[in-house]
Amino acid sequence: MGKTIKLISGDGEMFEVEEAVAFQSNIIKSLADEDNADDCIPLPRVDSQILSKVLEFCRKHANSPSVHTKFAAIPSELCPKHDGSAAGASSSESSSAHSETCRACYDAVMKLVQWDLEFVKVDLDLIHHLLKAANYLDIEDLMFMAVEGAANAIRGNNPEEIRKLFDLENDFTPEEEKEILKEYSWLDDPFEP
Amino acid sequence: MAHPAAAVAVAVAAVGDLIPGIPDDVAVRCIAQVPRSHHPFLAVVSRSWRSLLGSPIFCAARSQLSLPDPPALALALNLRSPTDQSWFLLDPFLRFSGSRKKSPPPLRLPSPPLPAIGSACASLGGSLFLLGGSVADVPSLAVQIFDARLRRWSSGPRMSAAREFAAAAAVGGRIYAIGGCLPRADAWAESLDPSAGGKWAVVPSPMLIREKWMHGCAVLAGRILAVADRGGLVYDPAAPSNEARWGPVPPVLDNGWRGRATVVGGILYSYDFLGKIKGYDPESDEWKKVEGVENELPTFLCGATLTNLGGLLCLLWTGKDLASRRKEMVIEWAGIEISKTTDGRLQGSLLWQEPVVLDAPKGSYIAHCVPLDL
Repeated sequence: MGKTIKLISGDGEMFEVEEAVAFQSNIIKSLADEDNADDCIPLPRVDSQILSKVLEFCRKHANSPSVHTKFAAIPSELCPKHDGSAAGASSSESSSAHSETCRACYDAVMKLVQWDLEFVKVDLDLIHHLLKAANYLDIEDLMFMAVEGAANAIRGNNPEEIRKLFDLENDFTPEEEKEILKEYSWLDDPFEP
Repeated sequence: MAHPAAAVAVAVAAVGDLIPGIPDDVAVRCIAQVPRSHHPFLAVVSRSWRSLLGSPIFCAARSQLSLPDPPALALALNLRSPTDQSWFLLDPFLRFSGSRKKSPPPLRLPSPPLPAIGSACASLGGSLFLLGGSVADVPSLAVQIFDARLRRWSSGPRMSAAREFAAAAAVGGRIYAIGGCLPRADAWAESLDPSAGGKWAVVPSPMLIREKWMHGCAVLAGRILAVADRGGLVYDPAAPSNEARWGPVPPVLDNGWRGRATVVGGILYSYDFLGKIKGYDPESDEWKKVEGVENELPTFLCGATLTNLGGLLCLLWTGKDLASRRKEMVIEWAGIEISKTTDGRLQGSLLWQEPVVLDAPKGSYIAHCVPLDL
């Protein structure tokens, strides 16, 4: 186990994780960089349930940073086929060039993407929190997937449910609502996503 | 999925929280990925969502994502009665997508600021150009432009000649206005490049072919065809010299063309008084009937209008619902896919036919019907 870092959730639970996992969060990384004798980083706005989900994602992505945002795939040094050995991989080969030609890397990335898609099919209650956490902790790949998950959640629900999902208020005046309901009276039909 | 979307760089004015706890630009990304078929639901969520849907920011965000939505095309419909006129947007995608039991009603659009009668209408991309017409019996130079995405009317550059019942067409990115005014007018024909934000330019034309009122207009193989009282004319913008640009309509075409017409797949379709849809094929200079739909459509299509909806021949006519107690107007519309057989016949297949209820007085007629990009 490499160097670890301790994170304290908003509800006081402590998580000890490897730096490679935690530092996918640009916020955690910059907080840790500061000259701090105490290697405990408090995250008051993320509670333990969400933080553990976030860390689960980060653990899975520890070896594949920026899969979604840069599609840089796996650095050749970490390629499962090459096993970290220098043989066969020239030092000047860029990561993306490597993954374009290396079948093993490509398969690994596709598997990761599949895992991600399943990951964001979380309980709908969590998707809003996941989105907020990804934004607050500034984790690019998680943000990318959370947006995908949120879009699916919006698409799969009717307006009242969408409001519940994202803590939104129905701020139409009663007159406006009447107008809108008239315009969309067909919405009363059972909705099949 | 899993393709890296370029960071959707949108500058969002603070309009209030779209999704609490998330910056608005992230929320826009989430909402932008929802398919268009769900937009009516999104509009009902909250005020900020409703106003987002109509905003340029949202259009930009959606166009930057490579979404699997089918090409977004809708029909702008202008209904007119002696006392009233109204505009609607008929969106085939919303009507036929998903497993909804009821179709959403056509969207009522704002009316143009100038209530002109006898304007000419042409569409270019997502904009509809309403040219001239008369207001209080006085022909107008006004140009009114409707933006389908923003659902807003604005004024365009005024024409040089006031027109009513002119021919209007969009060819090669330009809007043309022909006739609708006295033949001796200098600017009897003029054109505009809307993107250059410029002014109308006169299109020179020989006196001999000039007519006053135009009854129908279509664009066939890059040429504008217009039908007037005594015959038709053809304008070819690509011809090398001014003289070569204007000419008469081929006699066979002229004999069969009855006013409203549309061009689909290089064939000009018109609806004759016997209730048959025919297509004029310029390559063989002959009219051909459209086979395969005779038994499926009613014998007579009252007040029929034809238009090209994304490569489909779309027919609209007024329903014969006059006896019912319903106060609103009912129109019928049908979409026909036409293919040419190996021996050059036109084979049509009816994709849909259904009534549409419109919030317009019974007895209205269809004044304009044009496709618009959304």
